[in-house]
Amino acid sequence: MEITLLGTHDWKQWRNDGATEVGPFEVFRITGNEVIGDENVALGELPSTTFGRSYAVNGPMAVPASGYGVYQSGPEVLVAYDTGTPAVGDSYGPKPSQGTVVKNYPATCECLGIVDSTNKIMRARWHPIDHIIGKLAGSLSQGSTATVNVWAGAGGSEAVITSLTVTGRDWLMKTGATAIASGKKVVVEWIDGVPYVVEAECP
Amino acid sequence: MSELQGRATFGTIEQIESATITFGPGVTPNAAVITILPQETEIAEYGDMAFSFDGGEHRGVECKADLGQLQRDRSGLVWRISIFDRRWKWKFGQIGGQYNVRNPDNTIKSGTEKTPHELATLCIQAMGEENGGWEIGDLPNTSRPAVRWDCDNPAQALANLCDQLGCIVVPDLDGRTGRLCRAGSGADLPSGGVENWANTFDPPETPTAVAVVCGPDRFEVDFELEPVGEESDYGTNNQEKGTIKLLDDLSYKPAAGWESIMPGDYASIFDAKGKHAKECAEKSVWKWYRIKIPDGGIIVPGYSQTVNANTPITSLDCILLEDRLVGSVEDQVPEAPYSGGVVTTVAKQRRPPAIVWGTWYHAKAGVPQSGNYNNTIDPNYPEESKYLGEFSIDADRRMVVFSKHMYANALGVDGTGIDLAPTAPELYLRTACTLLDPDTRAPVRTYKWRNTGAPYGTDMRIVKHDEIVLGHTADEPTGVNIADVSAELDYYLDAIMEEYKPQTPQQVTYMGLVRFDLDGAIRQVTYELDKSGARTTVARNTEDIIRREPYAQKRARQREKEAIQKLRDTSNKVDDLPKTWNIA
Repeated sequence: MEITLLGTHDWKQWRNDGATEVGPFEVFRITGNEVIGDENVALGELPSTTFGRSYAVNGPMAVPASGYGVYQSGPEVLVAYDTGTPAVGDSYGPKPSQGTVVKNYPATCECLGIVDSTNKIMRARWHPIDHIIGKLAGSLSQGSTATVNVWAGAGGSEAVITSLTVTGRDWLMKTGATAIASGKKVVVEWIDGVPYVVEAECP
Repeated sequence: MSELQGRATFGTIEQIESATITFGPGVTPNAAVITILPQETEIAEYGDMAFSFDGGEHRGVECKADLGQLQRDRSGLVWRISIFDRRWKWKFGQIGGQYNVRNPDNTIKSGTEKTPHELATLCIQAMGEENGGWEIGDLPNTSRPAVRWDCDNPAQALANLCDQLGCIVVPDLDGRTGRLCRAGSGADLPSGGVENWANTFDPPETPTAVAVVCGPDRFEVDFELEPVGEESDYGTNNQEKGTIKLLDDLSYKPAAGWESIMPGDYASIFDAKGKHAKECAEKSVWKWYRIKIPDGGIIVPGYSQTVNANTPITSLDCILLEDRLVGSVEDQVPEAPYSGGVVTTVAKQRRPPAIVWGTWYHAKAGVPQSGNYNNTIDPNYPEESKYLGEFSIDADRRMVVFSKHMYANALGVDGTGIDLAPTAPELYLRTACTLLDPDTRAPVRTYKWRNTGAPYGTDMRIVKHDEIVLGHTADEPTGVNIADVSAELDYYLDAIMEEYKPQTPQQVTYMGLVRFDLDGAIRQVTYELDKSGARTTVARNTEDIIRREPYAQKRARQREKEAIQKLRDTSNKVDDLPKTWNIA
């Protein structure tokens, strides 16, 4: 009996605008959109140190630089993970310079089960990045913004993700409050598309 | 005026000078010709006609005056009037129905079986004849001739049925009764009262051999398929747009080959070749598959292997695809009795649809790369091991059109790799087809023949029976139903050979009016009345008394007329001269 691969006909097209090939079921960061003929084609590239909230998962064919491919529209996807044995509920996210998702990285998916342990493919629920943890790279004054170095890792073993930063904005401090010093741990949450610093390490 | 020694009457006609009528078998009326003196009374055009002489009388009911001519002869001014016997009414009416319809295995489709006697009775009733007034016992009742009546004339339908079974229609003219008689068998002629006796010599025009030819043979073949696509470019000769080509020959083939792009992902084709190329790709690539002619041609079981040994099919033009297999399956379907009542289950045969099988890329649910799925047909359960997706057969272009992409993964099977590289799958279409001879393009048919023993060196007489079809499969290349077909062909050959049995035609003239009933041997009776007396002339096994068209010839002409009419009524279908093979 022949069964169609997970929503084959629902896959959407994308073009690899990066300089590196994206492998089968690897993730890419969505960088834009182009209308080709009467169809929308997503533009993307392999995850890099440029932070993005929106990632997508490539189809079953590798897409070379400047090549075309298909990606999975979700919310359930088949995605390649880097190592280990994902358990249901584990969070995985993209890591700069690689296409496989990594456990405890800024989460873009939650594992729903392994489908191919040999080739390290799991089924997962896909979503944008809504929260990150990190440390301020500069002081954050009331109502202003500051660069946040993104951290990730298993609980108790968190570490900085080299060169990956976001720009956090203050909303909560009252007028005249002391600025949050550089190096303080923060939690950044995207609210209405704005990355607010919603928690900060006590002074 | 002298008195007639005999008497003829018709309606209001007063003084008949002479009368002649010839009765013959068949379903078309004979015409009596009477000569009368002009009369003031209006001549009735419908009524009974009677011939009487010395107390004997022959009556014809429901006759109809056809044509009157005023002529001058030695009697002076006379009317010469033609009067049809009652069969003039038989050109009206209609009959419909399909009976003894064949299943694919040549058995009778349930609910359609009727014996020849039942079929004849249906016709006789539709002709308005007296119920139970016809003797039909001579009609052979063992065969089950297929009939498809659709607003057909019932008398012609009856004549056709009798033709198939070697009988003739012999109506009585004095009532709505008659007989169906076996041609050539009947009463001998009496020897008393003979005025003239002639034994004639009329041997049949016997061919050297006779043959019954089936409808085009049906062959079940596993056709190998190859992926093709629709060309979008006009090409160098400006004529290539819309043509069908192998994938690698298409102008919009990706630079890195079809293995480089996902089926359905044709944005790069749009970029490179434009909208129309992309549309052609979407429509056809990995969806259209054409029958492949392999090196050496297609080996067709039952044709290349047995009928025409070592003659493979080398051109797609020779293959007329069907969308069904040769064999049949039996469904149990509910059916209520014709008169209503409790629904019961009856068996209905049908030919199962064509099958696609082979090896193609297959993904199990949730498993991204389960590899190329190898689908082989289990000969015992082909329905359970076929490709289950949707496809259609384009018989004109000898193509299979899938509703989804069909391809194999060049990068391995069963999880040995996670990448995908679409490539041509190994696909086969198992379906029935008929064949055209590679040399003459005539349909390939089965026939069976017999030598008549005639020494004239003629060609074979061919009689077609398109309803008989021999089916071939790889398992039974000589024919899955060869026993049934052979027996049926024998039956019809027997009937044809009957026509060439030697007969002794006789023509005898008797004094006065002598009653003769037509039968299978007495083919014509002529009554003549005039001032000189009355005579009865009988023809046995011949029909040449008054240049009357012989029955067989007349039927042939009628059948030809019917065929022409049907051709006018329906779309014309080419029926080439048969290219046949012999199962004898």
